[in-house]
Parts: sequence; C-alpha cells; structure tokens
Amino acid sequence: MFVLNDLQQDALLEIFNIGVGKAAAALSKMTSEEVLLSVPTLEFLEWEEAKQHLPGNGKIICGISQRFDGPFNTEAILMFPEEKSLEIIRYILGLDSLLERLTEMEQEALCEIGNIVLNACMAPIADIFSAEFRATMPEYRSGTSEHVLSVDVAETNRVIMLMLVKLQMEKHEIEGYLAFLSVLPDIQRLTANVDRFISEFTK
Amino acid sequence: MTSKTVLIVDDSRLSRMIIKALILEKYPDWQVMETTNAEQTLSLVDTIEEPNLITLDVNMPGMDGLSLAAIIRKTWENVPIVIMTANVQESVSRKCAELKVGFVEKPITADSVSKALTYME
Repeated sequence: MFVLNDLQQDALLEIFNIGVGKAAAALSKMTSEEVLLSVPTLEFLEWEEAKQHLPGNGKIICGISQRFDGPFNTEAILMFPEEKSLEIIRYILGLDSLLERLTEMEQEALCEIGNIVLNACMAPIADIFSAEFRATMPEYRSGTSEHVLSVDVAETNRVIMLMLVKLQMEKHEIEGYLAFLSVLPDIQRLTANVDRFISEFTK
Repeated sequence: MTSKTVLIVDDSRLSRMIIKALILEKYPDWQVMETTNAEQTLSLVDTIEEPNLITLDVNMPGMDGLSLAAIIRKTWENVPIVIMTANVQESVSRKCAELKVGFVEKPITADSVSKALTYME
C-alpha cells in the first residue's frame, strides 16, 4: 500500500487546501453566497475500496470533470446533487426553467462554472510547484458518484489517491463536493513535487 | 526591535514550520509558540501572558479560526490577530474586518509573513 509520512501528508493537504480556498472564492463570487469548506480528507485506496468512501449515497449527482496534466496528473471533479445543480445554474444564470433535467445549454453553463472553479483551484497549486497544468475541456457527467468519479478499468487494481472536500452553501441549502483522483505513478510524481516543496523550507 | 512573542495556530505542521522559520530567520530572539486547533489554543490562552501577535488559520478541524478569534478577543481584547488563509471569499475578509483582525492570503511566503507582522505595529 502507498503510504505518505506525516509531513508529506500534511504538506499535500495544505497545498490542496490553498487551491480549494481559491475555488470556493470563485464559486462564492458567482453565486454571491458564502461557501463553507470542510477540512479535506486524503486517502490512498484501491478503487473497489474507494467506492465505499464516495459521497452521494447512491443518489444521482451532476459532476464537471477536468483532467489536469503537469507536475502530476489528476482528475478534478466538482459535483452537486442533480436537483441542486439545477438550482445553482438557474440561480447564477437567472434562468427559471421548469424542466427537471438539465438542458444542453444549462449543461454547457455548468461546464463553464466547473471550468472556472477547477482552474481557480489548480492555478495556485501550479504556482506552488513552479509549474504549469494543461487542462482538458470540462466534461459534464451525471449518475451516481461511482459513475461520475469513474476510473479506467485498467486502473481499478491500482492505488488511487482520493481527496474530498465538502462545499456548503447554507442560504440555498446546497451541499457539493470537490474531488481529486490520481493513480500511481502520478501519485509518486506528486509526492516527489511535495518533497521538493518541503525541502525548500527544511534545508 | 525588542523581543516579541508570536502564537501560531494552524492544523498544518508544515505551515507552522514555515511561519516559524520565516519569523526566526528575521528575529532570532523572538519567542514563537504553536497550537494546532481551537481547543489547544484556548487552553493555552488561560495559562500564558498575552502574546504580541496571533496568526490563525481558518479551515481547521473543529472550531474555525474566525470563531476562535472572537473567543480570544473576550480574554485579550486588543491582541493583534491576523488570519492567514487561502479562503479569499469576500465573506471571510468582511468577518475579519468585523472582528478587527488582519487578513493575509496564503500561500505562506516571506512577503505574507512580513505582512502579518505589520499587524503588530
């Protein structure tokens, strides 16, 4: 099993915490509402085990996913329960649709919101590592969290890094998640960067 | 500058290490104390003299840094407090202003620590 020492784990959480803070600020700006953040959780597990730790309780959720390739590779996902995704998008866009499912245009808008939030998160992480991430186009996914946070079949037996942060918007009673998924050897590249970051301050 | 005491409150060991190292690099004779959460901090508040500055993280397990700042203010009404966070939401900076505490954006760098120290002046 892949294990980080206490200082590596602490540094990794703090680095992502900085990114998540910026992401929350971007979401707060768009919704004009305070976004409360949980303390991030970080686990290294095989996919079968990771599935037990996913949020959503089997309910349908909407997610916007982007892959970031750079000093390490990760899949970043912003996700909300389906009915709340409709509420967010319609609140931000000032739409008042009666349709129960997201229309294509609303899906595009949700992708753009995800794009802004996820990039706001990853940009400071790139700065910390003095590097750059290349991001894929945001992809809209709907289904259970297991589907939204899908992992390639070829990678299911490998160790996965799963980082989760809960986002709460109390005024609209909206609860969502930011998730980051990486697999070996990306995790090893990530920890090598974390070690470099730590060594700068512990010389 | 005469010797000062700084209390760092942050659940991240690395953040505490960096803040402490940057302060001591500039002011080696200063005393730097550390706590990792609100509970530990409030226990310490009852046993020590008022420090010259307190730096607080916002997003910590248990009580958040802003709520902790409000409680510390009840004991040490005028102690300089500075929030060091990456949570740059308008609501956070507004609460800082309401509590009359400083606000410095993470990541922690020599510049951000220097800025935090200006809240003692």
